[in-house]
Amino acid sequence: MINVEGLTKTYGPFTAVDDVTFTARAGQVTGFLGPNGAGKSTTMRVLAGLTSSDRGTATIDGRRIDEYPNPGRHVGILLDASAQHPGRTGREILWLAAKTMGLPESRVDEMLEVVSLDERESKRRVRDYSLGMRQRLGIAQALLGDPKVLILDEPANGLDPAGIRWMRTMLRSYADRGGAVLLSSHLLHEVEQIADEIVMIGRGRIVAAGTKAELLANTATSTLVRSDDDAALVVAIRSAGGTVSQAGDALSVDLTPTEVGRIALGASLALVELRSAATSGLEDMFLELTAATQREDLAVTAPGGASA
Amino acid sequence: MTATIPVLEADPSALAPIPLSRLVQVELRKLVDTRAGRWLGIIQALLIAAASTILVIVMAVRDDPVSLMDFFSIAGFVMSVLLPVMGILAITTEWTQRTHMATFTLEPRRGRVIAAKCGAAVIAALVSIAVAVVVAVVSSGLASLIGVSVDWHFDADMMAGFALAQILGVLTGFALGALILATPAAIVAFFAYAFVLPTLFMIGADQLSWFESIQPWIDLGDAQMPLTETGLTAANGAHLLTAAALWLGIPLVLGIRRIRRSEIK
Repeated sequence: MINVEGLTKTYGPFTAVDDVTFTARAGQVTGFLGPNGAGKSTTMRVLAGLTSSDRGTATIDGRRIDEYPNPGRHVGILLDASAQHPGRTGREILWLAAKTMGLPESRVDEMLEVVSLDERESKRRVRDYSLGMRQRLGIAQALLGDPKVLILDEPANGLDPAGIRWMRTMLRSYADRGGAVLLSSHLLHEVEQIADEIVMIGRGRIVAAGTKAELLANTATSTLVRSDDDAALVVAIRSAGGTVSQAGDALSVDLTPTEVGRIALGASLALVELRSAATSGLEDMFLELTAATQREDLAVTAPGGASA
Repeated sequence: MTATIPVLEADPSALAPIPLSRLVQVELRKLVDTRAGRWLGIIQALLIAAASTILVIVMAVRDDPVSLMDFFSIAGFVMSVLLPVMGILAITTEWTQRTHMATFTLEPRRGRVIAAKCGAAVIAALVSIAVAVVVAVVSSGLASLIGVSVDWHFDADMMAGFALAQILGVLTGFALGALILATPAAIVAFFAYAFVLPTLFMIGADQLSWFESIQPWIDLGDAQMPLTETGLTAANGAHLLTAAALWLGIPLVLGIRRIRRSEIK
């Protein structure tokens, strides 16, 4: 379990992490979500013992990382997959970590297999690795010591869709075995796909935390619908008391899909598409929650957001 | 891809601190598992061999005698340049390649990592000294084979001085590397140490009478001379100690302080 309490880190006048408190429980994958520069990496670096905090605590199963005699055997950390010597082979990098932790060389082979780096690839220099391969190597390094806790900063960066699916399955089984995972991302759909719980951070402050369902409970119900006669459907929904707006080539309605379906049935209209817009609801919420606190202008990426 | 992670058997050693000897082994491996590190060692050995061969040829042509210890002087010249660079790389590479993130998350007690690196650098110097011994013996044998008169006298004091000078060299590089944490700047600083400072000291001692009496205490280059030439005495030993404390000890202490406090990113 990861416990961050009242964590604050300032750089001169700039507060990178501002009184951050959250928990990543064992048996769950916790997504640490926020725009770039929101304070995710700084928080993770404090957990990893690489950055000192000004106030507050960051502990792993009740202890700071430097209180573990051999921390690699308790917590697996991947902060930057590109922070590797380009002249070393993937196997060599894992060998160095395994040796430090006191693990046999056979463990290196096991991990290479877990992340699907084959014999030939493992003997290539990291210089010639794609970003996705570096991420998989970094995940292998984090898993080497069979840790109880995983801390992964943007691990899905550079992974292809198959790689993301693999990571989701792998982290799922890891959490099911009782492990705790904290993984960061600036992309909502990544976190949604992988995480059980979401901790949203913006400009150094936690803006929301909870399961996807809990976060959505506070947002308005929304349904996307298309029919063979949208004009007639708009009239029918409005007369039933709903509010309709155009969302791309579909209509967005503030009712549940069941309610919209009944209205269409009553008006004898054939539906072409009917689905809950819950995902886009979460996206809206992410943008809204971070809008006041973000550093970069996320509005630029907002129009395509509903596709998540 | 497989999604299941093989579990490690419960192992009580997982709760034990990482022994320093294991950290030293890892740091030694890091010195030679990249092209830069490996070639630095190979080039050093080749240069020592080449310079020794040239000495043999020159002596043969001039029909002059040569001594076993001459070959250590030649090797010492090559090593006085390359060993400090090895010492610098032992520490700066982690920063330039940002591998320090992984290194310090696996062992957050940074002082132990620095100690291990320092130990590895000294072992690299000892291996280089062993190479120099082998080359000296082989070259002497070669010289006597082609008819050069060889003085096989082994001067143990001079050998110890030679070894100490090489270890001081690698440690000087290491201290500068730890303080500066960037390869090119640390190498420039070392060459300033090796070539600019001695000249300044010489000019200073020549021009300023008050400086002349201080110079032996602070000139590390001069203070090392007795190691390979006249031999250490109590007096010049004290000179060496103060000069080394000033030019090697202070940067090392400041460097360790900096590394322990700095943010790793």
